Formats: sequence, C-alpha cells, structure tokens
Amino acid sequence: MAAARPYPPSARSAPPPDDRPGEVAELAARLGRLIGRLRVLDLDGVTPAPVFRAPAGPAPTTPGPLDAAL
Amino acid sequence: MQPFELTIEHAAAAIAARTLSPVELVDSVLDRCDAVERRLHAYVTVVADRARQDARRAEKEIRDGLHRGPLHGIPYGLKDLFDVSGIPTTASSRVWADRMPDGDSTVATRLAAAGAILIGKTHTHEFAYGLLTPQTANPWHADAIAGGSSGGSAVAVAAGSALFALGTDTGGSIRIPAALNGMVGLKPTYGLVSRHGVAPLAWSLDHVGPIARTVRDTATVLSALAGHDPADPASAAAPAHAPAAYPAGPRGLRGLRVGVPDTYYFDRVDPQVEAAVRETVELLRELGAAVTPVKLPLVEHMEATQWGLMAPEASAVHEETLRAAPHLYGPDIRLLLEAGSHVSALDYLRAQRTRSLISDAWIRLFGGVDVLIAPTSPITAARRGQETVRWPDGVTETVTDAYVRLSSPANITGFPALSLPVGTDSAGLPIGAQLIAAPFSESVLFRVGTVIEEQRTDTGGPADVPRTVAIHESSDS
Repeated sequence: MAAARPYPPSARSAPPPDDRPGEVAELAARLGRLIGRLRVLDLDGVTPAPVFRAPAGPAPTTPGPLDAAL
Repeated sequence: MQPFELTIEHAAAAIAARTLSPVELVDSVLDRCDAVERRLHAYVTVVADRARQDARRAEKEIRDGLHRGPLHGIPYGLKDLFDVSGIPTTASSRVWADRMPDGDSTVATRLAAAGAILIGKTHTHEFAYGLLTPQTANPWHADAIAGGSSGGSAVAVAAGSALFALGTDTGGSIRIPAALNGMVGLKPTYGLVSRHGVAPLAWSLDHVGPIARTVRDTATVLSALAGHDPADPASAAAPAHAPAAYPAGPRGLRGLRVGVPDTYYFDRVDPQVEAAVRETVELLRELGAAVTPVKLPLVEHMEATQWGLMAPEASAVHEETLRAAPHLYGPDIRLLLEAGSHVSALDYLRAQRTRSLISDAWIRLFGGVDVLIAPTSPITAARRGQETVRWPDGVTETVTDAYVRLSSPANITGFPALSLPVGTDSAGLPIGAQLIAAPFSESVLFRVGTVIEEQRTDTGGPADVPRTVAIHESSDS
C-alpha cells in the first residue's frame, strides 16, 4: 500500500531524553501478561491466519447487488 | 428542511429530479460547517473552494446529461488518514504536521469517479490508535466524548457538515463513534474495500468503511467503494454474490435466523443499552425472524488476541519514526507504540494462530445463524475526562477497554459488522446495536438494518447541535 506508512517526521530535532521508562516497562509487562494468557490454548497443528481469506472465486468484483438487497 | 439535513437517498433523488443542485447542497453543508465547527471540531481541514468548484462541475455535468449515479453531487468527509492529492494528511499528529500526499487513496479516486464532493478531512484519534478523538465534541451532549478513532467523521455526519464520511476500523473505530453519535457505521468484510493510500494502524485488522445517517445510505456508499484493488495486498477476490443463507426479496424477516449471544456481548453492559438492544431483538422476532441464543466460542481470548495482533503491528508501522522523533507523538500513543515493540514474535504468532481457531469457530457458528445482534458498545458516550467504568460486579475497566471489548471480535475474524442507532439513554445519548454476518454477507446486514430502521422514527436526521454548549468555545474566543 503505497503512501500508507508514517513518513519521516516533519521536524527532525533531536528527541529529548525519555523520562518515562518505568511506564513503558509497566505497560509492556501488562501486555505480556495479557497476551500470555493465550498460552493455555492447545495450538498444536494450528497455522497462523494473518487475515480472513475469501474463498477462491471468479474475477474480483463487488459483493453482489447491495442496493438490490434493500 | 435545509439541504444539509437530507439523507443521501433524498438528496440524490432531488438532484436527479433537478429540484436541488449540487451547488445548493454543497453551499448548505458548508454553511452548516461554519455554524457548528467552532463547537464541534470535526474537521482538520475544510476545502471549501475546491468543494464549490467541484459542485459547479457536477451541476454542469448533470445539466448536460452526464449523471454519475446516487453519489453525484453528494458532499462527504474523509478521515484524515486518507490521502488526497494536494490536501494535507495529518493523521491528527504532529508527526505529519505538514505532510502533503502526492497521490490519491483508492477510495478517494472511486468517490471522485462517482461524483461525490469532498468537504474536508476529519479528525482522528492520533494515527487511529485510540477511541476518544479528544479534539472533537459529541453533538448530542457537550460533556460527552465523540468516540473514535473516526470521531470527526461520525460527528461531521451527525452534525450535518457532511452527508456521509469514511472512517477506518481496527478495533471498532467506525462502529463506536457511529454508535456514540447516533449514526450508522459499517466495518465491511476484511479485504472488501481497498486501504491503498490510507495510513495503517495494524495491517491485519484495518478496515475502511462508511458512516452515514441511514442504512440505505451506508449501502449506497459501500457500493461505490467495494472492489478488488491490486494496490492493497489484502484486497479480496470476493465472490460475485454474497454467500448468504438468508434469501433476498421483499419478504420481511421471515426465514431470517438471528443469533443472540448468551455470554460476552451482554456481560458488563449498561442496563439501558441492554434494554434497547433486547427490545430490538423482540422487534425482529415480531417481524418473523427466528431468534435463538448462541454461545460464542473462544470469547475469553478476544482481548488477548486483539492486543497480541494490534500492539506489535502498530509498533512495526511506526518503528522508524518512533526512533527518529518519539517526542512528536502524543504521550498516550508513544507509550503504546514503545510498549508494543516489546511483544515477542512468539506471542504475535500465538495471537495469529488463535485467530485461526476463532475464525474457524465463527464460520461454523454462522452455519446456524444468518446474523448476530449485540450492543455495539457496553456504554453510551463517556463523559470527557472519564477514564474508567466500574461495573456492579466490582470490575473496573478503562473506557477504551470497555469500548473495544464488543467491537474487536469482528476485526479479529474480519466478518462484516454494522452499527445502527436503536434508542437513547436517559441523558439523550444515542445507543447503538451491532449486526454481524458471515464474510461478504453485507447484504444481510443491510436488509436487517433497513427493517429495524424503518420501525423507528428517531433516526436519519442530524443532531440538533445549536442546543448543545460549545465545549471549546472558551479556548477559541
């Protein structure tokens, strides 16, 4: 997706020192505990599904007659 | 009735009948903008001169017999994540304070081809990483939040400073502000609408979709947006027809199978919200639908899966910029991005694999029902500055966690979900219900949503903004 990423910032001044390393560590730890709950799942044989995949179909098109559905 | 108060359906009919010109309509919307923007701050940028020029062109085309369809001459807003050549895309962030795109997003191109007229770029929570949009006010109540991250888009439509707008939805960012502002919002099936030229938050969860005042209008806009785009790697080669079990045709709701979750979606929900949604369920039953309780699988893993996907993907999107200029991000976004960079690859892949389990289970679930109905969010618009929600069982959660809880399953699975208004609470704040269907079954959502909408008399119009107090007035004057 071209033009769809953060571009270099408009102001390139030197970043000030981070005075909140504790906050970052705390939130990272909370995220780790939350995501870690998924370890209870039996994922043996389960492959990643990065996105929903549409079934193979004919030529790409719109999703049917939307207006007609009304 | 002023032109800005019209739905797309009625404005398009008037334009086609030559009883309303696009110039009149755009002037009316721009006048409305002037009247309410100081109070609401829905827009980052208003392109009035360009809009009037486009309106004159549309008027001439229609006069000359070139009518492009139902969006020809219809004014709209774009969340400020969407690129339009010559108009800044700021993502409501200092990081992109002066970023000028040199090309159009695919959806902007499609809407231009359909003859829609851009009014301006609407505010987002910074880079869409939040559900508040603090710059923008809720038009229904001065002390309530707009919701987000597509808060500016929902407020512009609710206030009458656009007839529709586009938003993005990574964890509920179209549906939540639509619900909080009394509008209709659609998160389409993943891959149905191109995201080319739209700033990402999390690639595997991001969706583009419309916000409008009615379900019919939402369907009209989706028709113009949907379609394969090779420029978006996730763009779907969708089946030509929606694989809906629910038969098409003017038969009311007879034959429709409605699933009502017996857990999760009604856990920790405000009683007024629950009552309004359950009244809507009863309405569907009275109209002939077969209503059955359903037990949703794996719901206890939704929050972990959403964060396990979103946090590292967002941190990856912003990795370079965050390293170069972290101080340009707002403190809440910076904290999320920095913390998200600590999520391990193993945890990320575990979230991906859990998504596989959830999606497979949901596909099986939709073998037995055509549509799920649930609250869009457990509470109406929170008060500005409110940080947490405390539930009767003693659990306290942040406002953001409360909002994302009911909307994220449709992002994780990629299934289409439509939010529509189903009432108001005792403070007059809108309540939204959410319809969820199988992939590419947007037509089912539109049919059911239209039936619900036709039973109500309090939807389809803009908010009565002048009655609200200007929350930003003191800082503006």
